Amino acid sequence: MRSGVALRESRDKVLVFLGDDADFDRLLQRLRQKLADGAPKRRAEVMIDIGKRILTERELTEIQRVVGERPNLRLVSIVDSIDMASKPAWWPESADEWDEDEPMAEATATGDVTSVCEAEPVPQGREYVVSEANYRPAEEPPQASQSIWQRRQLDLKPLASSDTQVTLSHNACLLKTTVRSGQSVAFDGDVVIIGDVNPGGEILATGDIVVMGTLRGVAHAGASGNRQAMVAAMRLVPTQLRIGDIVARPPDGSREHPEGAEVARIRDDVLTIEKLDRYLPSGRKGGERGE
Amino acid sequence: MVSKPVSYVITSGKGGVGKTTTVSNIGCALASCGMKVVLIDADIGLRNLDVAMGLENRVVYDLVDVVEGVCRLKQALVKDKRVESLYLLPAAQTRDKSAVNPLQMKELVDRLKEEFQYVLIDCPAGIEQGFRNSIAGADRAIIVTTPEIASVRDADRVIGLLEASGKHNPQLIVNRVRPKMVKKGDMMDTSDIVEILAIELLGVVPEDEQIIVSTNKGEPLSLKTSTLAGAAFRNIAQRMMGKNVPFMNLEVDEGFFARFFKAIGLR
Repeated sequence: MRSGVALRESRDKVLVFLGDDADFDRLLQRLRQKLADGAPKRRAEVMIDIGKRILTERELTEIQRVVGERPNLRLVSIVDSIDMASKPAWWPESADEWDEDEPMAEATATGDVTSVCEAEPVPQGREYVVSEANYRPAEEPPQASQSIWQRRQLDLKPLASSDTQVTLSHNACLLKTTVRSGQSVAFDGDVVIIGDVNPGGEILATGDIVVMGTLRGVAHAGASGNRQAMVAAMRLVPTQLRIGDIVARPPDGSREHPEGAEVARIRDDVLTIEKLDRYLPSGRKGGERGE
Repeated sequence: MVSKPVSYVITSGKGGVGKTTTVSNIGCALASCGMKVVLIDADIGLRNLDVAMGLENRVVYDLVDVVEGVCRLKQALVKDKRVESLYLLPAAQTRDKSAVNPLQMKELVDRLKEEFQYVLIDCPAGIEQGFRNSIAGADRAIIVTTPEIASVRDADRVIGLLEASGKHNPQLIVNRVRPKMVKKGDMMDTSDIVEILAIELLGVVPEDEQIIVSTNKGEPLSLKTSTLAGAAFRNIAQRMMGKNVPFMNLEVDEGFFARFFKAIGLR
């Protein structure tokens, strides 16, 4: 059985293979260690192969968090054995070397799994789909502590085009109100405001910020140090913009505010603002836009 | 037509935008129409409403005396010297805002609502104890702002605080507007202000030198018929009473020679 965490680099992606260990917390620590030592220092996308494991919501969040600790890495998808058929050709069958330092306890179908999982029991009467590859050979039926809905969450297949960006995040906050001066919205995840953000108001998010209205206050995206975050607004006229650890303000004396939706993000360590059309991937109706 | 008693707090956040002037003028205008009106000065320690009304010589007891039980409420109310059915409850000058708490203010306002149709509370500047005292007894809120960025930002803060305290749908008065500056682009337009603050516009009052004269003399402008500012306050009072009054055109009436020179193309 595979144990521990193995890393492999392939093109511009980092592939992480999570072993079948029962002790998830130790596995996380191992993951953190591996990412600190073995992962590339440049910006890279991370894909995780969890093999036969079934993740609970807590475990999913923990993995996201550990990957998020390294600002140059971005978690784009998680695959398990079920998705084997749809994996791209270059996806290796397994990692070349596995963790041999400290073999951890093997997960069994009884006891150990329940001690690690804290998901809710499957409600009676719901159909539990067990595929061949996912079946744990055991006397007992599949643990009641594994929720069904997680299967759908793991349906993120490795994407065919490396241009498409998928954020693995089920943490999003939708606020249908105007944020007034003196009010502060702080959220661990992405924030969408349907309304304005008035001067003196501020939005703090560890993820992205989208304002369906006029942003006149302060927006801080990627507040935990993630420079990949972005701020978008229908009218982007903030007093200050912060992405990750970078703080930017509009140039002194500038009164011109271009019309239309705009997106702010970090490009080559500089906070740049571009029109929403430019930000979307090319291939949109109308073809590419010239400079 | 007897309307249900209602209490308004007139607040702004920023100081010096014209809350006290607004309270005195609207109070006079409402009372001139026959309403029973009481004005409460909630700016304990820095009272001004009695001066604006010209009643400072008639103050014997004040709001803190009433709350502490030193006197009866009726003894503290000062009757206005010009307008029938208008009364003033002055603030204390020798105490400060910690002398009263929000619950006491609410009880006081409720007692006054038994006697009067309109209770107007003049709120002090700021967002601390004085503000919290003033909004405690209020059913509705009126925000006063001038067309200046700092003032609008403070007003926005106050609106947020009001909404958080359950006082929804405040109304807006834009004070000290100079139409010439607005035309030149040096001053914010009322529609820009309403767009940011996103509350209902109750009235727009133009800048008027006569206001300074009136507050020094203690004769609210809304009692005179000759000024635009006075007319604006009277219109606001009408709107508060439910009448649908169109907003005035604030283009200044320039006087004969100015119009003459303009007509022949010299200005």
